[in-house]
Amino acid sequence: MTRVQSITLLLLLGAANAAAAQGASIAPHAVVIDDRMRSSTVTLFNPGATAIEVTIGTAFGYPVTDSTGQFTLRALDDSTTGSAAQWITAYPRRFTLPPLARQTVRLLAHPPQDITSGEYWARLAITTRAASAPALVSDTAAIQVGLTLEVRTLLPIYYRKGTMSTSLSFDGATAARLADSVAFRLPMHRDGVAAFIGQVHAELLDSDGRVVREGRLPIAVYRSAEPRLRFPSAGLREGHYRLRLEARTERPDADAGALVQAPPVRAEFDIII
Amino acid sequence: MRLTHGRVSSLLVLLATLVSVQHGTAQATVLGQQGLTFGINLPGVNRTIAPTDAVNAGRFYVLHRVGGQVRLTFSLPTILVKSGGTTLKVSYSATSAAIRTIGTGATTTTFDPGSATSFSFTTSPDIYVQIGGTVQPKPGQTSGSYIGTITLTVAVLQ
Repeated sequence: MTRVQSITLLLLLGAANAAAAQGASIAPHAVVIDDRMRSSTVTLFNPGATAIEVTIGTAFGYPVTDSTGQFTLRALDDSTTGSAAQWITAYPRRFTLPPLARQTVRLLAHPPQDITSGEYWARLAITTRAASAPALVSDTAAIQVGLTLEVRTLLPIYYRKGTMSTSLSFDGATAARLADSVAFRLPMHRDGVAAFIGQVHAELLDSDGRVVREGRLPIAVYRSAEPRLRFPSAGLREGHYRLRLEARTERPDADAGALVQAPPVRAEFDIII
Repeated sequence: MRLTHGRVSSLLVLLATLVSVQHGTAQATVLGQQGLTFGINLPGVNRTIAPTDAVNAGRFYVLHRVGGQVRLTFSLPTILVKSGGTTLKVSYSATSAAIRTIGTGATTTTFDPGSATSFSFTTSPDIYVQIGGTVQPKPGQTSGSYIGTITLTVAVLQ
């Protein structure tokens, strides 16, 4: 950090009374480990004015969709096929991070010798809490209640061995009219060896071929998913429509290097609303 | 836009973070900004703090990137303990948590902190996640400081 940056930080944080904040900024928010290097790093920064205690570990899990079509994180046992959680270790795993300080955490991979080419997954679990909990007022004659805050951040780790490939197949589309919207369920599965992370661009065309609705849906398909896409139903008459889908391995929230690239995947489905 | 103290702090924390972290690298920031406090309570009298209570509700700040998705999961204590082992009940309803978006067209949406919820950053890269609850001191509840910890897990869905 340059001197100008340091001074800027001190001015900003001093003026802001950022002491109230306890937690960390973590970069990057998705970690890629190449089999040839077998290591990577993440950087933690404490933007607050008090020290924080940091604990780092790994777990296994990946995004899936729940019964409502929302993406959620499915936690699985570390020994599940495809897990890298058992053989990726963070150094250091526990430390105290002073105010305005940064700490580089190294992730080292020790995969089994016989692992085949492909992508292996884990979640980096970073827990932060205030190094010293704020005390309540020492009025022993009263009932006082206070709950302190702790933060746990789960970030994806991708361990990649060999040539990466991914693709996506749309397995159909269904529509259901709700009170104020039309909800589409889009079952899909991933092909290739790596997760398909990107977004779906969807267009709803009426019987004259005009685009009457349009939207984007971020997706993370590790094995299969059935996300839900909603369009407002106001002005949509009952009848036949066509749903045009295009999935790309691009997401505005992801660093390009973190995503395995694939050609766009397109599909169209007839829909009755 | 009205600038509250919490918003000013968040903006400055955001600036400080941007200054400090490697330029151009995607980052995730999750901060606990304000603990949930119920103040002074009376025996036999329940007290509820709404998640929109700016002074007493617990408040987290989450900074990600527009286009991203996160899964928010609370771990909530239902029994608070004071030194000596005396306990006090705390409960949460289906509207005890809220997500407050930031910027033009900001909205506040309540949710049940007992169930995980997903959030997509569509217009702004940051949100507040707020938590309230109800304490239930029994008649004859002994005085003292009852404390506990609320954990918010933020999973990046990528």
